[in-house]
Amino acid sequence: MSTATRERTKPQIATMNAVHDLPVLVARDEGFFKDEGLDVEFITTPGMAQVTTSHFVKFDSVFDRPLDSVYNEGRIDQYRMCEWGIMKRAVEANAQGLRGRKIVALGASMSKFAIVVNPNSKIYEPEMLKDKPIAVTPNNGSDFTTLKMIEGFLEPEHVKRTNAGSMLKRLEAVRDGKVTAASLMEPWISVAQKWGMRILIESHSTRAEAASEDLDGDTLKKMFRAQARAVEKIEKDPRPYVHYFVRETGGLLKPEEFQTWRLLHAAPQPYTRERWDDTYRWTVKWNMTVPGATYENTVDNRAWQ
Amino acid sequence: MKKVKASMMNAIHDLPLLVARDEGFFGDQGLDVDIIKTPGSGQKDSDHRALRANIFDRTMEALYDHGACDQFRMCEWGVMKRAVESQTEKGHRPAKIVALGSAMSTFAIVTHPKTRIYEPEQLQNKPIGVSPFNGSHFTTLKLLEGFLKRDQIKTAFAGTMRERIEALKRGEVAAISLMEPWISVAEKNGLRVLMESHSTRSEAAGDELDGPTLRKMFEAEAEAARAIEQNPAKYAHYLVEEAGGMLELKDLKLPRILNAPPEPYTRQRFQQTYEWTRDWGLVPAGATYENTVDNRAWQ
Repeated sequence: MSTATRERTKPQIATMNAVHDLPVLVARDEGFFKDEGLDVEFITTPGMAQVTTSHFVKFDSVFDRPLDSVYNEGRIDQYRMCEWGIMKRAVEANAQGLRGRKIVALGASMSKFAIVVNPNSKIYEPEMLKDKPIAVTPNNGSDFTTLKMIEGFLEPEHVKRTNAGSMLKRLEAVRDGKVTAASLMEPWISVAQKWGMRILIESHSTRAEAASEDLDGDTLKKMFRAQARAVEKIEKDPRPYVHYFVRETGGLLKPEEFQTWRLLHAAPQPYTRERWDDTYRWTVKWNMTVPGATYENTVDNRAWQ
Repeated sequence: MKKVKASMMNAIHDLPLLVARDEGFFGDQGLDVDIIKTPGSGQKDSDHRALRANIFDRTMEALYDHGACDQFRMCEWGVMKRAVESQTEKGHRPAKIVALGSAMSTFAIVTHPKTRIYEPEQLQNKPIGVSPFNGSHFTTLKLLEGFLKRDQIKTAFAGTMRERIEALKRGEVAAISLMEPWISVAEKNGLRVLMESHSTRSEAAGDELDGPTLRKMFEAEAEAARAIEQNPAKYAHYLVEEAGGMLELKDLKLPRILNAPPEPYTRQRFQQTYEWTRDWGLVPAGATYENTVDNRAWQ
């Protein structure tokens, strides 16, 4: 346990991009964590969805990125990302001797990702992206989900991903003809539609929840119960929560232009062995993480035990 | 005016053809195109004539075999199957791939909210309702191949578009593959779209249609594709009509309508698509670019 962790008395949860963290934000603002008897501190780190994020992430090490480095320093106990991104981090933190984290649940946000192109391009469907650069955030949801969506249409060696910066930067790059396509999540898919961009393919995708050993199973269970309550609220009527997304675009989107139908959430669930086997094998196949990990040293469903 | 007999089935795949006829673009090219409407799976009152087990027994294919039409379009892989098998099986009128088609139709995989399926991987070993050997079938495989292993993808016959929505509601299948206007009908009914993608058509023709005539047809379709792109709402009624009162224009998601000018069908495209189709066991081995494709419209 790090010094920073030992001095703290309440769980610290990270939030980054609204589309992935919406149940946490809603649970916080509706008081659902407090209803569970939890006094949680929320740490916001820069994500690729915020218009204010100008940094270019490093391709080579995920652990240098803002959220990852704050976690490594012990100032965050729990966070969520795309399922494959969490897999990579959980496996490689162990392999590199960094602060440990395990997959503690299949997450609540079934976030949509979409691959968009310029409407003036002659690209009308995914196979036409053969050997063409697609802007993603390397080793994050937009990267992994691009591979998943494209794999049926193109041979792996013909899928070319590139880094063009934040969601806004890559959308501008598509608009300006600097990159052929971009992988986007909300609210940027809605912005792309507003700008008249062409959506080739889109899919819901999974998050996973990661936590350090400093959070016990009972606390995690309460956190996930609070998120599950938030999911019910969001599914019933997402409109009161659109402001989280609109804010990320810094004025580029009006509330009524946000496509709420793309939001989809489910209560957090245990991360099954079968799911781990499939996801880990796929991630290793794409050389996105190192071999040698096991379900036992990567997953901990203590919230349900 | 040169007379041409082309066929149509479902508006989403044939929209440029319909618009070219109704806006007079075929006439501008000196063509008198007779569009023979054959049963599809996308009309509210569709029966199973377009879904018979043997593809050559299906109405459109049978009409083509008997010479009632000379030109048709379907999903790229469906045309590949028909072009290859019309050569390899005895008793069929040959059809060749003569272009990559106009309609870049969207297909979507849809579930019912009560299934608790939220993303494609959760369809592992679960039945997905498709039209076997048609666009909904092939595109489902393409869409899911990155998320599931091949032996985990289970497709099933569940009837027409309307029937498979009903099958989904009854819980007989875990998911269904739909095209427009039925994706919009599904959304209106509160069903959940897991993923969706544009996909390709191919144009097929008999030897009776010469290159210059095909070229004029494709130029008219290209003109129609531009007209649709400029004002899709003007032509959305063809789709709304297929839903037979189950959908209003305001409920149809117009950005899903996407069309492009027909293009030559390249050797590289043939090799990849044929290999992929063969790899899935959906078409026999032995076809070549030379005996399956004919880009005479551009020669």
